[in-house]
Amino acid sequence: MKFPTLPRRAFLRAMGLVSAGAALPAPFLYPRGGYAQGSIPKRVLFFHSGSGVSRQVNVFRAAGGGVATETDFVFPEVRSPLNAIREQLITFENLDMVSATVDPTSASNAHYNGETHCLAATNRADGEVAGGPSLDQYIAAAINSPKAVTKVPSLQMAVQTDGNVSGTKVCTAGSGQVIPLNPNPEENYNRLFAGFTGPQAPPAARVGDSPAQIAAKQQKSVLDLVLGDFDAVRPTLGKADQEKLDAHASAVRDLEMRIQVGASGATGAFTPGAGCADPTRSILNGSGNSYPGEASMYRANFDAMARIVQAGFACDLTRVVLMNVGEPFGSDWGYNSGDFGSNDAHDLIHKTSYGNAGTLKGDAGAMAAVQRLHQLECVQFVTMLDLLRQIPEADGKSLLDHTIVVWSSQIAEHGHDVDQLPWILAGGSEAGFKPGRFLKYPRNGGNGAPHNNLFVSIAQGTGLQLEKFGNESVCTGPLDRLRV
Amino acid sequence: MQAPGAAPAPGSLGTGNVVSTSPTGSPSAPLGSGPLQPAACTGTEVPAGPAPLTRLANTEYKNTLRDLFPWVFANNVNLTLPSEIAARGFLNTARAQTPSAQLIDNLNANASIVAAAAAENLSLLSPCVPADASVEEQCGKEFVRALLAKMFRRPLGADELVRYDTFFANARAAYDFKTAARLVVQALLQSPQFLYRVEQTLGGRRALTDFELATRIAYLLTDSTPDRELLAAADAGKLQNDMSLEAEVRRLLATPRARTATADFNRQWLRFDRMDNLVKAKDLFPAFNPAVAGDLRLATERFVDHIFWDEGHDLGSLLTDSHAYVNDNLAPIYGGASPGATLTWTQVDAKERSGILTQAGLMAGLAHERNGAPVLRGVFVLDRLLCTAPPPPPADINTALPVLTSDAKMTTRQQLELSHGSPTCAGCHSAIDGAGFGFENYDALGRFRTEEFGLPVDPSGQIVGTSDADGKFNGALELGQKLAGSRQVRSCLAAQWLGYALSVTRDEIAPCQSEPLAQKLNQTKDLRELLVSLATSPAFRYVGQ
Repeated sequence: MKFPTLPRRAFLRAMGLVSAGAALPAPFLYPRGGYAQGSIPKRVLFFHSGSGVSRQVNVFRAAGGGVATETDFVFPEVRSPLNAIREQLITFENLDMVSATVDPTSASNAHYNGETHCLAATNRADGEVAGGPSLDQYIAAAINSPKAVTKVPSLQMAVQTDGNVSGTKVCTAGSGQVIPLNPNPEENYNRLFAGFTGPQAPPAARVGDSPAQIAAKQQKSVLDLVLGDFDAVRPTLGKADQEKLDAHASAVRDLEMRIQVGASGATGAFTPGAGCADPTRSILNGSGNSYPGEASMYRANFDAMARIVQAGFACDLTRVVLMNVGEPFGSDWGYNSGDFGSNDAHDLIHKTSYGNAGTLKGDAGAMAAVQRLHQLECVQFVTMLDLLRQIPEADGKSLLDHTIVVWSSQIAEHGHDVDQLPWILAGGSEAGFKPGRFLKYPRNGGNGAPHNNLFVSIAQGTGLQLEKFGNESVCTGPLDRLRV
Repeated sequence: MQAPGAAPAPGSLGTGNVVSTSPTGSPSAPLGSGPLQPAACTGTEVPAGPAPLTRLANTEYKNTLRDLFPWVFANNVNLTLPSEIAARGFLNTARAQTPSAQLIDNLNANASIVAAAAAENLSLLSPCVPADASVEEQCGKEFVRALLAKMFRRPLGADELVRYDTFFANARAAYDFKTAARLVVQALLQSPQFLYRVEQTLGGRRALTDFELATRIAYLLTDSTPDRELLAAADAGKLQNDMSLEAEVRRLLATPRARTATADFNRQWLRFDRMDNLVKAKDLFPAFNPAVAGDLRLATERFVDHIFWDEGHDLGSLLTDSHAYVNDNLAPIYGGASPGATLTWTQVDAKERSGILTQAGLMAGLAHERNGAPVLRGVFVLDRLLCTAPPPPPADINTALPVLTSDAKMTTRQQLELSHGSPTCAGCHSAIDGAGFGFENYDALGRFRTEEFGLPVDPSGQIVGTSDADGKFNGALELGQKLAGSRQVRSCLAAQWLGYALSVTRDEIAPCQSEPLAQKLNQTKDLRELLVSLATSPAFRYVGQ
């Protein structure tokens, strides 16, 4: 190919893995034997929400009431719906966003502090934008290198786009490179399922090309012509402009490879099983993207997106999804503007913090209201997990067993704190995650276990070989005892 | 080792790609190559403006397709693009453009849709439609020349013609003429020559070519591709001549497209996105509904549009005019009789309303569900009008207001004064609140009020830290008067317009580049003349250092 490919070094630098001028680390990006022909791929879902949980009510106990242990623990009332599936979850004590705490660049506001670190875990580019790729983008890029394995490398969706709860800049391709989340269920559906013809075995011998093969051939010839234009423009530009153009060209080459993956969704490396089906456009009923919309639209959007995740994974159209759940409408958890003297839901949530902002933490009604909110979030999470569990895989396990689900959040607590993250892992039993555990970590020098370490474990669970993620000065390797 | 071709292209921009995306426009601190500085104002020549490689903004892309393939868009065609990331409130900033997989997929899908529809009317693209196989080769070449010239917005090079001719010939041989034409359109719609405003940026300071300049002017003044007359003027070399350049600028400014293009700027400058997601407390504002919200925004947009184009034409009018667009939905907010169901230019109470800052829509946008937001309002004045945005609050600060109870007996202002009085806060909040408290007469819906919670409101304020607008004032009417007379407000607007025209933030604009524009505005008191001055200015017409 005439057009210069993005040098590996530039790739690593863009991913925040090596600084300019530093020696290249040993290769670690490529899965070693991770995806043998026909093996069932690992998927990753970030189930991302806004506000964390009030710390004073997020206390774990043993079933009998004593001190919780690794295997004997009960979720507190504020998240009681999770107790029914406790044996399938992993949760933590003293998991911290240490990278945010040590970041020398101060955040533009308290929400951006967590926003720029919750998935990127490295020093900010500036007060509002992360300084490296978010973990979802890192994994998507790595598992699709050097060759695309799915139709779409990753999906980024937002059930709701609320400026207060944010989540709008949580996804980054690299330092300063924000990838917008798509709040429109229909567009997300189309991206995966437009032209979808169902899982297909390799086509039987036939005379001439099928229409799909002709279309793919035409697309390839068109994109080759396009890449020729990139080639022609490049020498006329300065260095910074060339880099920008190269990034675009590289993404076009990526698309060219993905198109060859085929409209069927079959990658050649893995043929989806009986659980794969087009969820059909009927899942979009009642959904939309006109915010603020109505509570019913929020619910419809959640349902549609959850089914897109389910079918997208089942059909292996993508292996990485970031789904920002935002926050359920107040009317769905019995909150009205002005209740308890609060301005709005966002205001109430801050005022139920354990900290200084928590002027309503002693108000039983206010605490009951936010408990209803968090219990509703738990129901959403359980719903999502059920959808994944329903899909059988060829090995007799479920799609959930092959999917690492991370319930992440922008902040840990209603007062913006980013330590003691109330995050939860589910699924991934086939990726080495042993569920049904409450993992406690010590605090060293004020810090708990860095969430960078959790990210190393997740990446390793997908088959990638790496020992550090994000800010290497706080990352010490995979999270202790997490994978077995 | 083989580079990972399918690797994360979106991240490959390397260093120096930082975006400031704060809703309040906090300063950006770019990476790597160090902060992006405006050019130094030394010497006698005005330095060329920054010229980063810029992809067409979403609006520009859609308008361009509509203008190139009008018959395709006569039907309902749904084009999908990812949303854009704002930098200092503007959506066209080159630095914020990330080529995500979603963008590439969307552009690819859009190209297929548009090309398929366009191929149904090939004669509209190129008159040479082959009646039989003998003329197909010739018609193919004519098609390629017609299309490339339109979509690349410039004369064509020999090499690219060979590539496209060869492609067409091969595709025609493999499929048929129509398919070849469709595939060429499909490629052009994904070509960097189409998607980007390509300017040769190697080498020293030089004047833009006629065609480069035509493209800049067209996207600035019409949000779309150059029209036939502009391309003809470029072809004739007329845009290097000051007089004929100005004539073209004035011609474009007189087209309806210029109205929508300036509205696009005004919408971003004046943060109309604040009015997109209005939610108001049902118990306090039972009549508020999506129709009212829509009219609040539309009326504010039309107010600005009216001043810009139809009446006043100046910042003075924008900041002091006591009309509003009113209809049945908005009359209860403004008080007074309704002129009917249609939004109508109406004189409202001049003791309550004066200029854009007192438009109900803007006040409702810069507010919360239950009460006004003095901080948002103050930051708006400082950032959008005076270009003196304060830094955002420290991350560890408790920004929650005290709980309001029915016997709280404190206005919003009094609560804020309590929490902002601390030494940590006062540094910035004396400036923010000094401006923001001036709006205490406007509630969460933009209604005029003299009391809050039964207590009299205090709309007195103070502007600090400006070159010529400092001092006390009482209420938004006096604030509007004060800003209307300020030279700094004109300078601030000029820098924002020039930054927008060059797809950079105002931070990268040097005073010597934007001040001549501000001066012209000051002399003519006409916002349209600011645009003439911009489009003919050296900062806009030159590239390179």
